[in-house]
Amino acid sequence: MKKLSAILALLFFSGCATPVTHIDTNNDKGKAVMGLDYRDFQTAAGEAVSSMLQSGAVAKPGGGRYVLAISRIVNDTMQRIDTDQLVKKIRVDLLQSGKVVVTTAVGLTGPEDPMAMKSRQLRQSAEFNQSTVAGTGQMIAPDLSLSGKLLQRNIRVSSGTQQVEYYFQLTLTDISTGLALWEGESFIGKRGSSKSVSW
Amino acid sequence: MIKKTPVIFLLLLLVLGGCGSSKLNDRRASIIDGSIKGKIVLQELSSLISSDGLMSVQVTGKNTTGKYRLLEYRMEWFGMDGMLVPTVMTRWVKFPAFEKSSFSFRAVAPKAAVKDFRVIIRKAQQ
Repeated sequence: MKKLSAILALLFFSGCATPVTHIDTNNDKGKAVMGLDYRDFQTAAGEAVSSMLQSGAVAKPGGGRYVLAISRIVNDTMQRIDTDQLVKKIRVDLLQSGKVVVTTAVGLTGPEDPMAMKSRQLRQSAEFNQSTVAGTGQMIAPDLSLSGKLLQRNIRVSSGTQQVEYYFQLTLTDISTGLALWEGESFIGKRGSSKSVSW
Repeated sequence: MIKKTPVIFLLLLLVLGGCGSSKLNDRRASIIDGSIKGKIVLQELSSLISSDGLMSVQVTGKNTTGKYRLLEYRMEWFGMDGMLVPTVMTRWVKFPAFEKSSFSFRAVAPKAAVKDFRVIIRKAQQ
């Protein structure tokens, strides 16, 4: 009797379980969520890159490529977000545009990739062919800096409905002058049950 | 009666020709959603190369119905070799088509090496 109950329970629960499926990112018909998901980051990144390219802000006079450093991107939402989810997409497309190259040797809290500096310590080592070690004065300083902020506002529409507003604000600054060459804001608004959590 | 036939034929040709001229016939732009075909018509497709070498494309169309519709487009870019250029800008982008009004949207190529494009339009999915 116990075995039969166990089998029945197993069948019952396995029948209820939602099957795991891969997301078709090109045609995702999944319902929107109150929080931020990959579609929102794609939208914000796509809008930012498109706006930057259309504005001509990353077109270097006389040709060539700008060197871009990633500055502070503040997450001022109620969600735990790695802002690289946004910035990486922008970086990839800007690099592929042939108009911008990103430095990983300069960052607000130290270099993103410390290996460029670390490998210079090999200058002291007799074990390394010194002609293969990076020389002095070869690193390129950044021309531009990308900074920004992600904001969230929660608004109660009615007793059962809430509105969540997300703002992706980005600024491209000319480091030599301190002037903002480009600024962009993407807005993503969602309205749904106040029982849904947006954090 | 015999004389009238060519006149009717000519009138028919003019009417149909007039309708046809407002519709765009370009392999690079298409409406893939059967539910809006005929209701949403594409009228113009213009592209230009900016001074920094990037192709810009503007699509113009019209919502012929008396109902507001939220549509979305997806733009794909192709390089000189005809190969698809992957970019975060290739995604479904929503745009409004107000009742009995024209609409336009503009897109910029992700790199200077882009030589061709394809745009597909459908009703917004959510």
